[in-house]
Amino acid sequence: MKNDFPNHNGPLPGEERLVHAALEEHARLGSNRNDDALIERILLETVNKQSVTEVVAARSTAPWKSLLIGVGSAAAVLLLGFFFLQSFQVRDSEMPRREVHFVVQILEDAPVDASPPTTPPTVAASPNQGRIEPTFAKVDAVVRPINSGTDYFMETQFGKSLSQLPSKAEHHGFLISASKVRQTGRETQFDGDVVITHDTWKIKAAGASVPIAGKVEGDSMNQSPSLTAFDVVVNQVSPRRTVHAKTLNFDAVTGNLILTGVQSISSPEGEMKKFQASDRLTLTKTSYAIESLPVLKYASPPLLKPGRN
Amino acid sequence: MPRTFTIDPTDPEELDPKNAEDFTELVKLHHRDLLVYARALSHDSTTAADLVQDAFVVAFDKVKTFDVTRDFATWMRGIIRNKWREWLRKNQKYELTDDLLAQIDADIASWQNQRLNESNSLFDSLDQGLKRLPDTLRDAVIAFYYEGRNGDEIAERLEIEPAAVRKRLQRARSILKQFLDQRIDSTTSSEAES
Repeated sequence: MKNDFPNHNGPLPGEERLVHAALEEHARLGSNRNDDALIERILLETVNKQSVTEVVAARSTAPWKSLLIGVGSAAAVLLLGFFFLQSFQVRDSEMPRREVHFVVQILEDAPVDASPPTTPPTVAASPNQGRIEPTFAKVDAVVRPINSGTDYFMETQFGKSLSQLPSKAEHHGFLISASKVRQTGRETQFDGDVVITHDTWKIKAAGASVPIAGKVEGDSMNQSPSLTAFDVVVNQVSPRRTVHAKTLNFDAVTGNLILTGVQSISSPEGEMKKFQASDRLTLTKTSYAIESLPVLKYASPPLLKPGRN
Repeated sequence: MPRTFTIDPTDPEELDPKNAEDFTELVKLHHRDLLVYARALSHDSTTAADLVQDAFVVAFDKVKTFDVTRDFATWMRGIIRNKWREWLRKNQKYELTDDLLAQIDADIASWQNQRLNESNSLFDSLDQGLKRLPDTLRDAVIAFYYEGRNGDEIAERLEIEPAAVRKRLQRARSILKQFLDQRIDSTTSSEAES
């Protein structure tokens, strides 16, 4: 929306207001095109919502979680892929918006190496979390634009190593809008008035970043490609909660939000404000948990004073 | 994966929102008119998209209460109005008068009906109206709406005062409104004659 011209700080005359809106919409998408991103979002929350729920339910009954605890057994491989579904920046007057979908796909009955492993499995675990990070298959992702013009889709294609993808997949869709969007080498950064919309949460943040599709490889494969944000306010409608925190990470594997630097959390039960700097809040669709990480203390080194040996 | 949506040629009046496939068609059919409507109410494109999305979610959740003898577009506009009022309360924004709201509602309803009867959308009519605008007005409209220039830039480009740009845009919107109204009137009268 244009900020100062003409007469945008107040209502336009009635007879002009709808024409003004129609002209803006016509300029945005022309006469005959659909707003595919909006349709996709609506369908994800309506007619397609049931299928997503089914996937979640199926996952909860699958044995993958327990199998993952013993990563060395390699009975299940968790593949984490992600792609930008759509990226569009229409005009200067529009807030730049990106739609980001994380897709968690689960390979069950993956080939198991019958021989005992010669070396212990490498387990990458975050300190003090007690949680084992999954192993990721390599993603040969190719990003190519579809359509030209003002709108374009970004599609991620998987390489041969992942040609037999399972049918099971869990989608986590985020719509991100911000005052500024820029791409660095490996990620897309959003700055200023960032609003992140998800099925469960609406997040306001000072800034956010997501990795660029197809750029997750090498060392980065040991980490979940993740959405991160700082100076956040997380709102959840049902059950109602509001969280203020310094940093936010979306864990695409569990579908949870991990918040640190928590300042407050309010819910129908009340408001909590006293948190340690090291406290970590895990926000799920239905509940939340606070972990207080132990503070590591080191012995003070002796003071070295110059001139004395 | 990205999908391209096309509108199914099924008679829109036969679509039943209680059926998932029909609901999908109704989303495709109405979302852009409703975006215009929500934009006219909220004056903000992002808010308009949120209002339309939320309204369809509410409609889907309450679809069992929908009376199939009623017009789906009218029902949706009602939900959007309610969502917009909630948004106004939360954001403490200015509100339209009831008369103005009724006028906007009547206009968008006429355009939606015209599209259903003629397969001619509001945007098609707008295309035609733009072609008929005098060059001086059309240049201002193109620069402002389609090229995203601000008032000062347009004034400099057209070598006129910013106030004159504002005046030309107002005049252009007024002429376009008259043109759209005439098209609706002509459609209505030809229907009455037949």
